[in-house]
Amino acid sequence: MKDAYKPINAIKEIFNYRELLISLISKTLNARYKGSFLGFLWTFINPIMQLIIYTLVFKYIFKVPEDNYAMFLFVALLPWTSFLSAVNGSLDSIIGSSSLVKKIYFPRLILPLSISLTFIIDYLYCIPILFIVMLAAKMKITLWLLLFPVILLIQFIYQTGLCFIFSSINVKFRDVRQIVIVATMAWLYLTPVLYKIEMIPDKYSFFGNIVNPRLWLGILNPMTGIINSYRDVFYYGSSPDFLFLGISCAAAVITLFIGYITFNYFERTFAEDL
Amino acid sequence: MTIQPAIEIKNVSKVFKIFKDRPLTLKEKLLNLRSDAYTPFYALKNVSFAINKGESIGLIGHNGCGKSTLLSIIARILYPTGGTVKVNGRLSCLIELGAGFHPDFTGRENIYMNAAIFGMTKKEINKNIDAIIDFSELKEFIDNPVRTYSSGMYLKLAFSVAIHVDPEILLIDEILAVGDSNFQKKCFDKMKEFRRKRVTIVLVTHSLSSITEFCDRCLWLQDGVIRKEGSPKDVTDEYLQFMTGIQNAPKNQPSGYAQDAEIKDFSLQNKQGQRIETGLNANDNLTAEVSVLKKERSGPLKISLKFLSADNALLGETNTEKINFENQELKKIIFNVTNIPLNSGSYQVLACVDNENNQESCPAKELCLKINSERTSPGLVSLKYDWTTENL
Repeated sequence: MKDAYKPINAIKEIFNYRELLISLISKTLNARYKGSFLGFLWTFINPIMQLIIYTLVFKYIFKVPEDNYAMFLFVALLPWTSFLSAVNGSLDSIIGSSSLVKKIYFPRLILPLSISLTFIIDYLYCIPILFIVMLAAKMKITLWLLLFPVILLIQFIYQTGLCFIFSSINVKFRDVRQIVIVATMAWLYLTPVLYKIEMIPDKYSFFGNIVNPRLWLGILNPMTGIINSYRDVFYYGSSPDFLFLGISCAAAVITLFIGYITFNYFERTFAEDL
Repeated sequence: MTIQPAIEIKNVSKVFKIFKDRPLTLKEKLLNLRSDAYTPFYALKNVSFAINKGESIGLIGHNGCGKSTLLSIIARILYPTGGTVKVNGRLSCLIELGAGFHPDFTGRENIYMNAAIFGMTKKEINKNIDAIIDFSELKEFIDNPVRTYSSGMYLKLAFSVAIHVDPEILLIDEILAVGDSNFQKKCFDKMKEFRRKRVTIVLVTHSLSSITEFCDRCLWLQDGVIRKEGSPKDVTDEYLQFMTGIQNAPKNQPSGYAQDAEIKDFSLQNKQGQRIETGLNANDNLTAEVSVLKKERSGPLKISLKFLSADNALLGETNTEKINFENQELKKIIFNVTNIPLNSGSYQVLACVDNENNQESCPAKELCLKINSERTSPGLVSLKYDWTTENL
């Protein structure tokens, strides 16, 4: 039994059950808009509506000093929406499949993993739109865009780790769901999605740079490095800040590992707790 | 090289925690709003056994004895509290059929989805899809949404998917009673085919005849421990005797009976007039004595003797004409049954009393009849025959 907990065996097993992973993802993608009038278009309409609302509020009311605020926001909002939807969506991934979990064996990790992958794919669907808008806005497209898959991979690792943690704890303690939803709402404002991190005034730094909110947001919040890197390669066409991206990468791997251990711990009693 | 057993179970225990008031939320857990106290329930206690490749094992026991828990642990749905479970080979379990069917998807889509849950790849499913649809007998409905299916159709489809997984180990929990008799026969044939292919089978069932028909070995679980392990015939015989003993134990207030007579005594004897304890030889004569006391107003009674198989199938019945009784009269009725044509095994004999309105007068008395025979042949009935050859 001990062998079953080695990550390499988990990966092998998930590979053996790849067909289940694929059909779960396509089931979620297909079933989501089944019977709706605009169907698949909703994948694009949601982020665009958010974009319009945030742009109106932050550009014209709060007057964020950014020339092309809509684009500035768009490149960050897409990955953030994917991240947020995955984390919130994973909360019910085990509970929602209780009839399966109680009756058939399959690697349970597949349930949150499929949610995480679904929203990564959702994000990828939006990338062609992003490019069209970027070309229309005559933004410069540089070779730094080649780093996009790397940043996406880091985001995927990080959000999958969180999905593992929350989906499994939520089986035992059902109010984790409420906590996570409130926390992710605050998280949006702790991450430079709507604003630039440089906009945090210097007067909130104390003791030189030791208590510098800009620095600590980058270290404590892995999403800062990820979102800033997306913005660097898409919006500024420049190199990402490799220090912060590296920190995010390390945090992502650690999160995935913690998620794996947490999941294994709670997985043993899934069939009884559901 | 030693042969690896297909399933190896060592000292497996399973404790279910029965909480009075379990903390359901993090808030309650952290603030200690509800107590963590629980009473442990031992569903399995130190169970150990091994099943060799190609062996068929039957699991029997009364409800709540831990059969299904054991099966769930082998299937890795539940984790054992202690001990180790080793499973070598691809495992398919027919524990609950149709889990994971999506009502809005068509039969065909659900076949893909369900087969994927069993761990099949797209290639394997494509190879088997026609066989699955054929077996399910649902060809005309396969592209309709599953929510339009009747429950029988639903089970047929689920069963078809489950048995086409091409398992090396098959766990079956009480589901052979699927569909109409035609489909049931097909399922039995499929099981026999698996057995010929040396698929390891673990069968949980209350049908003792399917245990003796299918299995090489039988385990009797009681209160979480293995009470007896051995050949299906031996174990089911003893199990039946045990269950008969439970049934004859005094119960509280039987209802629905006319209560106008009572069976005072019931015994089975062989032709020498000895009470049967060790059993009766095949094709021997059997004498059954039933003493009946008439309790209320006089009137005729009909006394009958029923022979039942281990699965409660009625094999034969002998009965008297209506016998007139006076009030409070005690009569002994003696049945002589010659040449009992039964194969070796355990059977139940019931003595029943019916009154003039064909209402049962009192609860039936039940005895276990064990038939011994040197010749063992399958089936319940012992056929008398000879055979010749002819050159053509």
